[in-house]
Amino acid sequence: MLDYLLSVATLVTIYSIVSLALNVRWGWAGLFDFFVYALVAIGAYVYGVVTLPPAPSNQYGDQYILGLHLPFVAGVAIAMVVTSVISLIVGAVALRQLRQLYFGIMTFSSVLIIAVIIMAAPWLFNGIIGLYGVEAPLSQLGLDPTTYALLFLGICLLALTLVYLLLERLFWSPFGLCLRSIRDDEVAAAGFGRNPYSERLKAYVIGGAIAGLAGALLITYLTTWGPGAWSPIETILIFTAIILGGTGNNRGVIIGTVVVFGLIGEGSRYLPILPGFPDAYAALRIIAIAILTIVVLRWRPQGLLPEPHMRDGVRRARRFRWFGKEA
Amino acid sequence: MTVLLHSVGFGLVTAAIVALASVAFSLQFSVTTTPNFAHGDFLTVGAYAALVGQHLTNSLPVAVLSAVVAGSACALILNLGFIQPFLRAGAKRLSIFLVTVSFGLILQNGILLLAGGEPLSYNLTTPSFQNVGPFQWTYLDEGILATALVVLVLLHVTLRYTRFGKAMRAVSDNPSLARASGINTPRIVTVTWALDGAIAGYAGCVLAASLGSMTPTMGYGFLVVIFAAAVIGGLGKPYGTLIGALMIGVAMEVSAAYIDSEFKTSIAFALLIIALLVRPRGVISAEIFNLAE
Amino acid sequence: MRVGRHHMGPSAVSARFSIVALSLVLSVTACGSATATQAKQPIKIGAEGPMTGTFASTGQALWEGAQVAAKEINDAGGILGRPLHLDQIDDVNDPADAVPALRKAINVDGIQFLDGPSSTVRPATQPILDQNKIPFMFQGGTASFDHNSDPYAWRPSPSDIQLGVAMAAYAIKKGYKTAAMMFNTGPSQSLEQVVSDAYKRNGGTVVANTVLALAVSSYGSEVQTVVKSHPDVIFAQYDDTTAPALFHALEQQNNLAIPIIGSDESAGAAQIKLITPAAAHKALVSVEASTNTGPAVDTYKHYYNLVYPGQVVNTAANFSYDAIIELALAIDAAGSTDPAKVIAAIPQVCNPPGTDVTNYADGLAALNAHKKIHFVGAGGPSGYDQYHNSTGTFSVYQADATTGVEAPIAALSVSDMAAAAQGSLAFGTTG
Repeated sequence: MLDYLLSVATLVTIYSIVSLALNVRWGWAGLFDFFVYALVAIGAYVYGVVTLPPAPSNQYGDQYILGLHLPFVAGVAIAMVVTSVISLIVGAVALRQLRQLYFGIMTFSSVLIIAVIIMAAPWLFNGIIGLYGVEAPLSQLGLDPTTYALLFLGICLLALTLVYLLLERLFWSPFGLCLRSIRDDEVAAAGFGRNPYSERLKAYVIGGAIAGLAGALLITYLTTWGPGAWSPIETILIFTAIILGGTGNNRGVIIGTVVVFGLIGEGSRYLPILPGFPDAYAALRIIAIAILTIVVLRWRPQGLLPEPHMRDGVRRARRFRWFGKEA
Repeated sequence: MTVLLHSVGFGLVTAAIVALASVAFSLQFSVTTTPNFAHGDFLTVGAYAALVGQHLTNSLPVAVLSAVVAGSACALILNLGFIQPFLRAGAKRLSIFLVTVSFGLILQNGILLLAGGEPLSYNLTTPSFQNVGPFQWTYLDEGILATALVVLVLLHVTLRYTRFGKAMRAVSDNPSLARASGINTPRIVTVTWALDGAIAGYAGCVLAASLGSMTPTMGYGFLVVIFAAAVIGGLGKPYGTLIGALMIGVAMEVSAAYIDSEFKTSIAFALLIIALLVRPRGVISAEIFNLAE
Repeated sequence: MRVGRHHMGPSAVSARFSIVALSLVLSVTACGSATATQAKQPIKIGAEGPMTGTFASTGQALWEGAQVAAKEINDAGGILGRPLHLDQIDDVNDPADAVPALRKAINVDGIQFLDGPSSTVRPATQPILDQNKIPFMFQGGTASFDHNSDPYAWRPSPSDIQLGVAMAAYAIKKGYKTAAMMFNTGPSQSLEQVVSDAYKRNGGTVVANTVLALAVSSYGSEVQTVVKSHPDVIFAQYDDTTAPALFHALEQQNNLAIPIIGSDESAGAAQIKLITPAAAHKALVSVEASTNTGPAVDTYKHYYNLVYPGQVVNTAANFSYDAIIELALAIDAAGSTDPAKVIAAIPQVCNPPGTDVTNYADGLAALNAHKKIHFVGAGGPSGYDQYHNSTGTFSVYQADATTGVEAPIAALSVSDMAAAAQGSLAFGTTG
């Protein structure tokens, strides 16, 4: 029982990190970004090829680049650097002239192209089979599986806490305030001398680094990663988590993730199987999430925990109103 | 040379299907400026409705009619039941976009729930081909091309020569001015959505016939190709979108003949990204391709 | 600067704690009933696969096979006198889903054995299965399992390497000197490589290789490339959504004149229905592990029709069916559900020599009479080598032109397979 709960808790923690990454891009910068989960995947792949030993050379065996057999921390760091660089490139190109809908279409298409490239070039990341056999960090301690699972959960929680603290700091920093002012009124912000393009790009790269971290943790936990593990639906679920929890609010985003992935995601596993309707609970799960999104957007668009606001130079949470849109 | 021409021939058929779906999308966007992410799912609904119609009455016209009606109904439900209330409540554009995404998911998964995820067979005619000029087409292909042409011509005639069409163009060009001139803008919007859904439903039925089968994610998967055509032609420019659809359809098929066919759909994505980067407002810039002149 | 709150707010922390606490309380009360009488407590076997999503046909076939076997076993009195209870585990072919789903099945539902998983999620699930000492019957073609050393892992279905060699062997025997390849992008590509290598090793020439993208509306250009290269035969593996469009194009461009050699996938009832039995009969043969005739298959079909009346018998479910029966017989032979004993018993009931038994009831009776048995299943005679892989023979099947039911038209002998694997099979030894 404990093992099961630990596995759910670990995954929800890692997904929360992804939500925080998207929150920076969408909640703070207002970018309708579909690319975030592709960066999670890239982070996972990079961590894999950097920490795995070189690919075995049997004929029908697996193939992937690198294989440097580096330790955990180095793998995470390199994954984050690579995703930051890719975010920089994609962001620099896409943000220069695309807004809103076009940006969304662009990032959506980029995800699909990356998927095609990975499948078409199996020498990169082993194509459809993907990478596997990733070593668990600190396995030399020789702990029994349940204790190790607790330790790994602790590592993920530590990562989540660090990211959360960093983002809370950033939220109230001049950079964060500037970013949100650009989101709310770009023309006015530009009038005050802000550069929307460079601020958004910074937000994009920060989001990319965090996504890379989440990807590295995810592949470490699952010990494997392949095309079956990421698809556009994951991104939509993360968006729902953010909308539900409170766009822009870090705590809210974490709560939203717990609800969407923890309660709804896991809860649907307990539904009985209806003979003759094999896809029943998978379909119902998505329908429930879609309806939830619509309801929240209509009656409480700011989410469970609205974005905190600065008033009279003092930080305050918005006054709590059950229903109604933002003031 | 025959290889190239045959590929162009196949490409035209693909282009016809893409054209129907993307012109409908562009038309709706030009009048309402609401990007509809559920558009692909209108196609899926149309296909399944056609299957049901075929199953119940074994008559092709009834099947097609079911597709058209079902697509239209979905579009109307989306607009009247969701988008209008949201607009009245003052929702942001991005929220409405997310609402269309959610609506699309509900449609898709509703079909999944009711019909299951397995591909359902949809065989209309047994293919026997003819050589029409330099191209090689089956009766089904010719049917697709002919009806697509008819629909597009009808659309063109409606837009240019009927009062309703002129009203649509007015709303697309300047909604407030249109309303000030006495045009019933909400009614125009509603009818535009109905038209969009009808054409999309028909496109879905045709797509399923071409594929030989249908799945719940069929239309959603087609969405990128639709977006590609719409963006290349210019979002909101139906005539430009038509050109875009032709380019995409032919490019996909011709490329498969010469480079690794694995990349067929990636060609559409690649063209889309290039268009977005080079000319996001549309590769076709000539003003005559705007809806309003 | 004023120091803000640098920790998670109390509301969020308490929300998370209460969720975990609530689940713990619920689970403790659920486990309280474990003191029920041991005698009639069911034996729980999990059936894991992609039950939803793109690969749902594979998972559903696995589930159907397991259900059929469970009916047969429970009708015969169960395992060790206890009823068999199946637990469906949906992994959507996604390791991130497989891990919590499997853990729930093990920790919450209490499965002790597993039918499945499939290739994609095996790396993620294998450590969990090993850690919990759960013997499992893996069903996936991946060649990386060919040298398995995990004592809990067994594979009753043939490896892709064997299947690929069989396909090539049949083409060589028919005297097809040139071939074109038409395989979907994705998992089918590894099979393509095996077929291509085996075919060339025996002297065949590959004149065209087109990769079929998924879910496109037309394969006109791909078929054009193939037809232009004038192959004697086409090797192919493609999924249900590709099949109809592909066959349309083939019919359109050359009237299905080129014979197609497919794999077990092309023999699926759903796929034959999609391309129409007439077309299947005309152009397609499928190579798969020998099955489809014999008393074991008759038993399988009998119980299939009991569990799924009115449905065409799903021949893709045979290995899952065999897996459950093999596990059941092994547990009976071991006299307990102790994993170590069951693992030792599996080769005892599955490998020759022994009295051939073709269904569970006969196997159970023979075991009770202290005989050594050899299970011959719906997927053919079983037998595990030192890597826990099963070796099998292959046959070639063709669909009936009206009903689409597959019937064998040729068989590939062990010596054919051995010769093909070495590259010494001669052309044209079959008419």
